[in-house]
Amino acid sequence: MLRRDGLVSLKAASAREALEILLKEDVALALLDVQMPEMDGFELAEIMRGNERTRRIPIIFLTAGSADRTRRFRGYEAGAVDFLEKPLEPDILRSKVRIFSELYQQRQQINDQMDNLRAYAEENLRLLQESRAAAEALQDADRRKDEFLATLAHELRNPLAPIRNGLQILRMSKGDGERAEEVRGMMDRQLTHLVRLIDDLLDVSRVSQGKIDLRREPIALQDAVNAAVEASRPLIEASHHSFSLIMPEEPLLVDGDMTRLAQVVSNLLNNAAKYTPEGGHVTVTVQPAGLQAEIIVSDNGLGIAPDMLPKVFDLFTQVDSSIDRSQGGLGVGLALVRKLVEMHGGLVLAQSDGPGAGSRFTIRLPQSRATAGAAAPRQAAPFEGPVRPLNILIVDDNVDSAQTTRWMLDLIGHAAEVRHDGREAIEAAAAAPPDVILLDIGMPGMNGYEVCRELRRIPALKDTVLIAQTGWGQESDRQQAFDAGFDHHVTKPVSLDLVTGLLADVQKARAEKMTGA
Amino acid sequence: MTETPTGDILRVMIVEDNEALAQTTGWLIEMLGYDYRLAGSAQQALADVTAYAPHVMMLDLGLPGMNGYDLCRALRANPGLKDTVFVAQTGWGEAEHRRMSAEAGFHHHLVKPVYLEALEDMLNGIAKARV
Repeated sequence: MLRRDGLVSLKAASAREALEILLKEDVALALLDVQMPEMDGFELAEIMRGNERTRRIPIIFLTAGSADRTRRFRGYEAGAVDFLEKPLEPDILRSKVRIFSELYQQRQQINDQMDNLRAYAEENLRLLQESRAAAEALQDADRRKDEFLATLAHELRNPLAPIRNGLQILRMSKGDGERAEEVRGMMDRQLTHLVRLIDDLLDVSRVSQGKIDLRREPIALQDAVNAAVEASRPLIEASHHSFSLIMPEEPLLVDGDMTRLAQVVSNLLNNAAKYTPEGGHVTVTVQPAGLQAEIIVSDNGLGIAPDMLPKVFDLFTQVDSSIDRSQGGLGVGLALVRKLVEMHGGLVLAQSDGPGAGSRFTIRLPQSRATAGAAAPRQAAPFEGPVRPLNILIVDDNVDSAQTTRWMLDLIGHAAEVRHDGREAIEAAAAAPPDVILLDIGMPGMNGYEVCRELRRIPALKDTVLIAQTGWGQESDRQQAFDAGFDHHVTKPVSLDLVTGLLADVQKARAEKMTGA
Repeated sequence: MTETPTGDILRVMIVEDNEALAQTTGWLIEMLGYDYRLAGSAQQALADVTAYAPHVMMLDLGLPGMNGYDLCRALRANPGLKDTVFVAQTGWGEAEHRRMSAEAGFHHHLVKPVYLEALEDMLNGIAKARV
């Protein structure tokens, strides 16, 4: 009868069965017979009232004949909303059931709306918390950036201050004498330090933007470690540390970028030297570890507090700002170490038993499957023969940079001319073809790549060697330079040794060509 | 560098752990016609200060161990140095650092790198004030 109206009726033969159904189903209305064996309708209603799940279900009692006043009273007390007399009148039953079913549906809707509201509120709260966390992270990043910039300014001034003093001393002493010589040596060391700081900074920004390409080939790990020891030895010796190097004789091969691995080990060695009080001990151990190769750099210095250990590889982290500010450091060295090691498919660990207990850094790299012969260093036979000075054209919009490069080339016996923009340079080169053109890339107007392409179109310059000079040394820059038609690419500031070597190669090639012809 | 304080020449003690900076500053002071003594740490400065009796003390603020602020306070408490002029030398030039150095008892605050002219003016002024 009820099913016709789109309702579902659940039948229970006893109060116990009814309770079982009530536990499982959501019920809009309960029609309870008062007269039931074991437990009557009133008792069932009382149990329903006592239960959170069922206490809101409307109850209509079914009575045989008209119920007397006391029974009705007991029924209402037990939570009845109405009484129906048996036999049931279908129309009355239907209309009553419809009312309660509508009520039930409305309540369901309200519940759904409340659920939705609650979900919205929770979602809003979550978004609010998320945006708060993001704002905090931004603030934190901002604070770290400010700290970093202040530290950077400080670190750059550290080598700059003695360089300025040095210049003033040279000026006052007219550049002569033993002291001037000493001052020049000092300025050279400070400038090297400054360049290294800036290189590290550029490196770390390139690495974190994924702009560094490794030139990986099978190399003996010992070679990279030896190069690092060579680079760091002055710092270790300046602090009067004793130094031990333990390496197997058999080459331990890894697929690595020699320069980058040397840089990694050198960074660790410099840290060891820096954070160990004078007269300490620094050890480097290279050893196989299963399918991996291990480099361990350890010292008996200041050590690292346990709470700092997980953070030492984070960018701009300084182990102890009070120590670091006097010792120098930007907090980029170890960040660079971790990134470069990870790019090699390896990992790096920091260990320390705490302040004063020394530190130990372990690098693990996968061993190469290549055979030992693959890593044999190539050595070019030195060329000995007649050389002549080269005619060199320097093109750089920075007047000071061009002028000092020219002096440098004069000093090593070449004849150099200077032009400050691309157009002038092309005219000068076409009029008197030089042996070598040193071309700055970042010039206003016509940039170095464009100048290079123009120069390559001039037939008289087919034998001219073109060298690109830039502040950017990543692989993509080199590739761009070679694509434009450059023969070589060097990064500023260019050291005298590098230019001398490069030009010697050009001279050698020229001489060979002449004797060969 | 003289072992015993000389009569009239202005004596400047430089306390700085950056060796290159300390040495070149010393040479500059010498070229300006004054006397100098180097100390690489606060401990060394405290050990040497009585014998040298400097007219000017140039202190690096970022010294390892005892920093420049604390060293200045310790030295200012020494009655033998009551006429000594204290100069803070630091890479940090923000107002906050200037305030901190003034509070620690410094008379001057120089930001690295120091211009020769600024150093010369300051030392000449101190020398003149003594006469």
